[in-house]
Amino acid sequence: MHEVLVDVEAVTRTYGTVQVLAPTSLRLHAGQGSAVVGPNGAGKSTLLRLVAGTEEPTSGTATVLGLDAPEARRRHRDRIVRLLGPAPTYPDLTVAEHLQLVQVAWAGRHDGPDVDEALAEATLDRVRDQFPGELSSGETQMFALVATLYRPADLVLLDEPEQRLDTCWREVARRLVLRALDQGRAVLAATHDPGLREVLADRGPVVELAEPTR
Amino acid sequence: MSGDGDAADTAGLAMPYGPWRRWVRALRAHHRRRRADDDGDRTYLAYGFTLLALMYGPILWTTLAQAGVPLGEGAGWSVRGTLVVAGTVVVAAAGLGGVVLARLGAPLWVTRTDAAYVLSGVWDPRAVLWRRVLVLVAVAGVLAALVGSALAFGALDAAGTPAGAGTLTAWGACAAGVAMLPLTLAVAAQCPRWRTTARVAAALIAAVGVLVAVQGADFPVGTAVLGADVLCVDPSGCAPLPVRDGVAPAGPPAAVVGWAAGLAVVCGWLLLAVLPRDLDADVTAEAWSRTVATGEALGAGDATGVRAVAGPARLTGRRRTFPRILLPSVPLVARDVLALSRRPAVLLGSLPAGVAGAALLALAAGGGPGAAPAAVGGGVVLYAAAAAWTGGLRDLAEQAEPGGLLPGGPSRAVRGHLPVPVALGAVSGALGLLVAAVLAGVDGSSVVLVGTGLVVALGARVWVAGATQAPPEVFTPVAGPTGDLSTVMVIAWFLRAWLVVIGSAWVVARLGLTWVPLVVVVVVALAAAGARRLDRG
Repeated sequence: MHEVLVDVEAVTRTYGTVQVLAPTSLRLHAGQGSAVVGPNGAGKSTLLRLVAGTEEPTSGTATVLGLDAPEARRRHRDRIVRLLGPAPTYPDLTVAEHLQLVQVAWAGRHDGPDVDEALAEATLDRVRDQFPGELSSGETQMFALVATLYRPADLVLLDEPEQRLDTCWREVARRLVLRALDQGRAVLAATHDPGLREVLADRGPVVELAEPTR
Repeated sequence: MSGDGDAADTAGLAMPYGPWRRWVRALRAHHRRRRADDDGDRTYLAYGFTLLALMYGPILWTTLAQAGVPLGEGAGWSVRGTLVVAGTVVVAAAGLGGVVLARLGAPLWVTRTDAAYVLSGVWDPRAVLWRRVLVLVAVAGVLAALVGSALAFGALDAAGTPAGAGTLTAWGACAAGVAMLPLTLAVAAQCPRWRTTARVAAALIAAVGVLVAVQGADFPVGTAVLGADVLCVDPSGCAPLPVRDGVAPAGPPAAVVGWAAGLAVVCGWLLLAVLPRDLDADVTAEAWSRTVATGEALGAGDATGVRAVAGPARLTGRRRTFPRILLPSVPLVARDVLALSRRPAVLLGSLPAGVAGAALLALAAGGGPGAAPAAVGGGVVLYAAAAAWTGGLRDLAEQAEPGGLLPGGPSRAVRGHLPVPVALGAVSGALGLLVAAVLAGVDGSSVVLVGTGLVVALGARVWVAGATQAPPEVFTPVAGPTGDLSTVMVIAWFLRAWLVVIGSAWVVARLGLTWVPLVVVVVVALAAAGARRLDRG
């Protein structure tokens, strides 16, 4: 059996008197994918933040790579990559230069395609020489996803990677996630995209969160 | 017939005439009430403003008068020359500031609605903007008169020639007239057609200001004009100042009065009749809107927008690539070098500034009464120049997850971004020492002071990069003798690095080099705290 990367047991999160995440459990092994689905406000992003270690649960435990999630975030940065907001980019580097920087910085550990191939695969080769501030919102999101998946990591956390993407690019996004799974990474993604949910459901558990009480 | 016609008209109205009249009456009454409310608000605003002006105006005037005392001490009968020199320097600085101010959509502000109406041809810009110009002229004139009269009072009193109300009014009026020059430059910089002229004029006036400041009150032509009211071009010196009945003249020299009056007339004509017509309403409205939004965010504790307002990035050299020698071994250094090569103007501007700052620090090591101001000035200039060198660090800090794409986490990324600013700082420091050596000679203490200045400037940059949002604690009300001091706390938080730089330079210059280790330890600890904060993000 593969190593357990994520082990979440009955975690909840409450802000004030509002419980934003009902008790939820999840176990994810290396090479597995898991889709977190549910209506808006069900707690998908909250669950991802708990696993990322940027928030602490109100009750329950979130263990990542054998450590409490916040501790894992500090000690295993190199093994976890997350796209929970805007991608960490430099405004004065072009799209291609970002990938080149990632490739060089992770030299020896980077086993992905070269920069041009990665951009072509994501159909971003047209904007390879543009700065991040010059991209459209869809291109920005696709670039963020490509850069995130281009970085070596054992565990990938994605919060609605399909947002602002059209039908074509959603298909590209699914292909990129599938490739990451094929490389042996574990992918935990919150999504509203049925196609991505299907891709991930083939590789692991689906976490269905209940509609919040309004 | 007519009755039939009336009946037909009434039937065709969507609302019968009687109810419609009642509705119009009600609407008018409603607007009258609204206007009355507005008038009440305006009256209350005017009352509050007058009260504040009466309360704090005299305090401000007295403070400015105290600032004018050093101008009169030791100046003797050339106090008028000293005052005009100080005025020239202030006007030169205000002119440069005004040209920069245009980037913020100020001083002549335009809202988005104004811009829409102006661009669609509904309003003539002059018809709308002349009232605002009048407000600006009035505010600038009053402020300048306040500053001019107070400085004159302090300087003349210290020189032993106390000024009467008439003399102070004359100095204030001259200051008000001369103040129209920087205001005109600022508004001209908002007009595409006049922008270059305004920048060149501001640069020329700044050069004159520097020349006058360096030559001081002994500037031969200046002294003659100011002191004797007669032009003297003899470089070896001028005739003694005229003394009537043993009393030195205290009022502004005739030449200055003439210049002030001339400037007021010409600038007033430009401001009211020429410049509003050429204002770029769209760009000004956009910049003003951004400035207002950034100001509101600052008030709420978020400083992230300041950079975009202060200096929007203009990237060039899209085709440049990473330096191949650096990329494999030190990728972040390669990134910083590439980024700097895409902002050549910023780099070329920052290096002379860094050299000047380092030279000032080196000169301050010589001691003397001007050592502390020189050290503070040098430290501040060096810190400002370091902003251009630490772009990579700042970009890293502004990322949602700093260094998320790179191995090793934010601390390692911070270290990776340090070599370039350290190298540029070292080059500037060495050149600054060279300049100081040529001007006055340097010794070991100069090297120590410049090195400390570099450590403080770069350490403070790392420290402030750690947080762009004020912590909630600084908004907590703090009781002080003049009321709640939380606003002061918030402002101090935003200026924290400048305060540290100024404080460090002052401490080392006034108390001696034995304080250098303490200053370095404090700044390094602050920088480490900033890096740790990024790590926790």
